[in-house]
Amino acid sequence: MANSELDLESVRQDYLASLQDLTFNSKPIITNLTIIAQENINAARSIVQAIEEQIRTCQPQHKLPVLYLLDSISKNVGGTYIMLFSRNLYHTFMDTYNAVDQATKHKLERVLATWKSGPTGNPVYSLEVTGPIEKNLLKQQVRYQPRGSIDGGRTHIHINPNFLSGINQSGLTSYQQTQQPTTQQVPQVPQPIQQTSNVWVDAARYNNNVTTAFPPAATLPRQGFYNTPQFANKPASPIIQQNQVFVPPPEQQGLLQECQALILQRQQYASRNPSDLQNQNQIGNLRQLSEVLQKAPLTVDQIQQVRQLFASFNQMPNPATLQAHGPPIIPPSFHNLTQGLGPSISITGTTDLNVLSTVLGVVYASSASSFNNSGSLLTQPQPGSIPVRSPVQQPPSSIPQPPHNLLADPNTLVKNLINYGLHNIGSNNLGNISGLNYAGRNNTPTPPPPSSINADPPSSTVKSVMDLERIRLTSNDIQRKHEGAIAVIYDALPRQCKQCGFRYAGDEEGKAKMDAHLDWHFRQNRRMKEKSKKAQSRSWFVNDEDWIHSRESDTKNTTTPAFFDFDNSGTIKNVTGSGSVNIQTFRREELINESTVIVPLDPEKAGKPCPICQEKLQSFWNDTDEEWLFRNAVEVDGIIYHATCHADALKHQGHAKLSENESVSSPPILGKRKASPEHISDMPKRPALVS
Amino acid sequence: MHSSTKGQAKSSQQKEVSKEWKLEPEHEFRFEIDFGTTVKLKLISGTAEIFGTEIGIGHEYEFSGRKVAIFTWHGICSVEYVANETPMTSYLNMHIALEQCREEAKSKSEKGPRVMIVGPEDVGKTSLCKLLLSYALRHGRQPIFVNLDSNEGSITMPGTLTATPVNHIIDVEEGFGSSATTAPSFSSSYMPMVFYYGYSDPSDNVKLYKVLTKKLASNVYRRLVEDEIAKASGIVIDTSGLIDSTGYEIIQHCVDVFDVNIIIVLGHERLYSDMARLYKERSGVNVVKLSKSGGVVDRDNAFRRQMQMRKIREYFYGSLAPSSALPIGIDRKVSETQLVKVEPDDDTLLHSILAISSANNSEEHSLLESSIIGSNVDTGKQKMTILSPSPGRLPKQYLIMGSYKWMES
Repeated sequence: MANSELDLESVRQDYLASLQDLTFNSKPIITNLTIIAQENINAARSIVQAIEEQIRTCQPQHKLPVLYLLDSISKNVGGTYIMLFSRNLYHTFMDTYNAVDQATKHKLERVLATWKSGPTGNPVYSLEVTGPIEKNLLKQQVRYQPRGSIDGGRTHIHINPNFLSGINQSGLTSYQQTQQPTTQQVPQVPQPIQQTSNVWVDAARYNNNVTTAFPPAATLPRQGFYNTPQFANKPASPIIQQNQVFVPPPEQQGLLQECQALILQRQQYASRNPSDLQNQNQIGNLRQLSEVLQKAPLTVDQIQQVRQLFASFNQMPNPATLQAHGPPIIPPSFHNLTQGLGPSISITGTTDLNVLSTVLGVVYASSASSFNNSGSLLTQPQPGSIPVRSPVQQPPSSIPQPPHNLLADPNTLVKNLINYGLHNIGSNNLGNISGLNYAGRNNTPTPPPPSSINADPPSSTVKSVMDLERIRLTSNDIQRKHEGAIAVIYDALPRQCKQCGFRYAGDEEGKAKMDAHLDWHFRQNRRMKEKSKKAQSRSWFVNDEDWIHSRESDTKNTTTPAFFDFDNSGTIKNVTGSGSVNIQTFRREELINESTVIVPLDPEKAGKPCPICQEKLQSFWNDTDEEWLFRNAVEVDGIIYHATCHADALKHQGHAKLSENESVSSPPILGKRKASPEHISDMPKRPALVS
Repeated sequence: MHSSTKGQAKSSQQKEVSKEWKLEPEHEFRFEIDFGTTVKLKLISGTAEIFGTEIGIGHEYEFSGRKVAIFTWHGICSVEYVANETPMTSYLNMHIALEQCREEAKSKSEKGPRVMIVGPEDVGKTSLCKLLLSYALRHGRQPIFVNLDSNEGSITMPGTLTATPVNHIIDVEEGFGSSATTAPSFSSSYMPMVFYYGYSDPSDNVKLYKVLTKKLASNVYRRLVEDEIAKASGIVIDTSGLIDSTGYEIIQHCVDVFDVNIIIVLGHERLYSDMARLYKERSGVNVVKLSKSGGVVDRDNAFRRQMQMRKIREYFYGSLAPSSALPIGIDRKVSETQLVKVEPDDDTLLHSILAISSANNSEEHSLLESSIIGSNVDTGKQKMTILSPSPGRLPKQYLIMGSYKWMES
C-alpha cells in the first residue's frame, strides 16, 4: 500500500507540474491533460487533488482554464472523476467564481449550465451537486446586481458598427439565409464565429471541418468553450470580432408589438395630459425604438435589454397605466415571448427583473446545449436559430465608433429612455435594469451613485497608506505624529457596519465587502436564534495538513469552519457547510471511518484478514449501536475487505465484476460512465467542452 | 475632526447604574472589571476603539473580568483617570509602516512583514498584537497571528502554541474570539493550528518549545505559499515575557524559524538595546522600541491564574457560561522531548488536561509534532471519564498530557 501511495503522490506532483502550463485557454493543453487523466484513471484521486489544488492556488486569471480542464475530464472521461470532483465541486466552483471578474463569471455560469445537461442529455453532475452552486449563484446575482450603478449602465448599450453598416445589404435577408441549411454561402453570411472564447462553437469545428462550409444553422449552437486559434486562423472562416448574434425576426416582432403597445398607451395618456413633457419624450423615444426594431436586427443582448426596459415600463407606477388602464398592461406578446424561451419561466407583473434575467441567462445557455442533442426539449419556435445570449461583450472601445446616428443607435435610444422615462421610478428599479444589463460589460469599475455612499466625509484625500510619507522603522519616525495617519484607518474607510463597527472602503469593492459582511451578520444572527436551544459543542482542531490547505473565505462562509463532526451514530463525517474549507485529504479517512461492518458472530469469519492486504481488520465498540464494528471495512459477497483496499482494487480493475456486486463501499457513480480510449480519441467530436 | 465621543457604561451587579463620559481626542478610557461583575458599555456618538477594534455606535458591549482600554482618535471619554499620554500615535505609526511593507510586498509578491513582539510580562504585548491585527484587518489584510505565549491561550487553551489566520473582526467582548464551536457567538470563530506544549513557561521545556515552534513555523510558511493574501499580510507573533537568558535564546530561535524581520520591543530598555546589538549585524532584521501604554495594568498571579482557568472553562463550556472554575495549580515537571507512556492511574491523570494528538502511529516524533485536536480532563478508575468539548468518539487514540490541571467546582 505504501508503494502505491508514493506513486499516487508522484502522479499528483507530476500532474500538478503539467498544470502550471495551463495559464490560458488552450485546447491542445487541455486535450493533452485530459488524455493523461484518462490514462491514469487509477490515480484519479491524485489527479483530482492536483487539479483542485491548482484551481485553489493559482492566480485568479488562470483559474478558468483549469476549470475547463475539469470540465473536459468530467465530460470525456467521467466515471470516477465525476465522483471525485463531485466531492469538492461546490467549493472548487464557488471559490473560482468568487475570485474571478465578471466576464469570467459568465463563462463559469455557462460551464455550469452544460453540467446540468451534458453532451448526451444526461446531466454531467447530478442535481445534488449543481443545485447548491446554482442556488448560490442566483443568490449572489440577486444580491449584487441590483446594487450595480446607474451611471455605468447608461452609456454602454452598443451595437456593432460593422454590423450596422451592413444592415442595408444583408440585414434580415442574411438571417433568412441561415435559416436554410442547404443554401448557405459562407462568406456572405455574417455568421457569428467568434474569436473570443465565450461563444458556443460548433463541435464540428473542433475537427477542423470548417474549411468546407459553414455548418447548417440548425446545428448551431453547440457547446464548447475552447479557444480554438487553429480554427480561427483558417482563412476561409469569416471571423467577426464582435460577438453579436443576429436575432430572428419573431423575437423582434414581439418586441415591436410591445413597443407599439406602449406607444399607444402613452399616447392615450398624452391626450389627457398634454402638458406632460416627460411623457412626450418617452413617446418620441419609443417611436425611434420601434423604427430601429423594424429596420435593424438587434443582438440578443440588446433585445434582452429592451425587453427589460419594457418590463420596467410596465412595472413603474406610471400614471398612464394607473389611470387609463388600472392594472399594468403587459402585452400578451411579451408573455409568449419569454415563455417560449424555456418551459420553467413564468413572468408576472411583479417578477424581479433580476431573477428573471438570471433565469433567462441560464435557460439560454442550457437550452442551447440541450437542444443540440435532440432538439426536443424545448419548444423553440425557430430551433435552427436559437439566439445565443452572449452576456459578455468585448468592450466597446475595441471597435471604431460609428458616426453618431440617433435613429440607428440603440445606445442613445435606450439611454434616452432611461433618462426621460425611467428617471423617476426610483433608483431601485433602475438599478435592477442597469445592474443586470451591464454587469461585466464594463471592465472599468463604475463610480457608485452619489446617494449610495453613506457617511462619506466630504474631504478625505488620504485613501491609502502609500499616499502617506514613508514611515521608517526608526524611533524618530515611529514616535512622531504623521499627517493623515488617522485618516487612513478611519476616513479612508467611510462605510461602517452599524452592528459591529467594522469599516470598509468607500469604493465598489468596499461596498461589495460590506454587503457580504452584512449578509454574514444576518446569517449569524439567524443561526444564533436557531441554535440557541440545541446543545452545542466545540469542534476538534484541524490537523496541520488541513490547516495549511484550508481557506476560510472571510465572511462568505455560511457557517464556522468545522472539520470533524460527530453525528449521533458516532461516525465521522465532514461538515459540508464549512465554506471553502478544502477537505480533499480527508477522502481516505472518510472511507476509513465511514465504512463499518458489524463484526460477524462466527469467530472464524471474524478472524479472517482482509483478503487484499492480508492485514487484520480492526474492531471497535460502537456505543450508539451497541455493536462491535470493523473499522474501514466493507462486506462484499460475504467477504470482508478493508474499505480502502476494496476501493483501490475496484479502481485498478477498471470497474470489473467486483463493482457490479459490491454492496456498500464504492459510490454508485462508478461504472456508470464507461471510459475507454476511443472516447478520448474521438473526444473532439463529442460536444465536449472544455471551454 | 473634533466630534466628541460619548460613552456610557453600565455596571450591572445588582442594580443598574449608568454613567456617561465624554472623551477628548486621543484620550483613553480605562476600566477594570472584576470577575463576576459585568459592565455594559455603549458608544453614544463619535468613534472609539478597543485595542484597535472599532466599536459600533449604539451597540452594547458586555465585559467581565477584564481590563479594558477604550481609545478615541477623534474624541472620547474617561473616568478613573484621564490618560492623554498614550503611545497610540507610535502604535499607529507602526501599523502604517507595516502596511506600507505589506503594500510593497504585495506588488512584488513577496512575504509581508513578520513582526515579533517581545517584552517583559504585562507591558501590553497581546494588546499591541490585537491592535496591529485589527488595523490590518481594516485594510483587508489577513495576517497570521502566532501565539507563542503558552501562559495565555489567546484563542484556545493555556498551554498551547497556536497559529491562526485572522480574517475577521476581533471580538472586543471575548478578547480574541475563540476557536470554532458549533455554538453561535457574536463573531464567528477562528481556525487555529494548535500544538499542545503543556507548560506555562517556555523555559519549562525549552527543547520541546523549540521543536514545536519550529514545526509551527514551517506549517505557517507552507500555508503562506498557497495563501496569497496572508502572504502579503505577514505574521504577527506574540510571545510570553522573555527577558532572561533562556528568553534570549528562545527569541533568537523564534526569529530564525519564523524568519522575523521586525522585532518590536515593548517597554523594556535593556531588552531593546540587547536586541539591537544582537541584530545590528544582521541585515533584514529591524528592532523597534515602543513604549508601553500607561494603561497597562500589572496582572498578579491570581489574576493570571483566573484568566487561565476561565480560558479552560470557556474552552469546554463556551463563554456564555458563568465562570466558576477552581484553580488547583499547575505541576511543574521537567522532561524534555522524550515521550513517557503515562500509566493511567488516578493520581497522575486526575484532572489533567489532555491533548489529542492527530498522529496516526505511535512513532514518537510524529506524536510530538502533531497539532492537538482537543483537550480533556480526566478522572480514572480503570475507565477514563473524560470531559470532552465535542460529543461522540474521540477522533484519535493518542493523548498527550502536559502539566495543566483543572477541576470544575
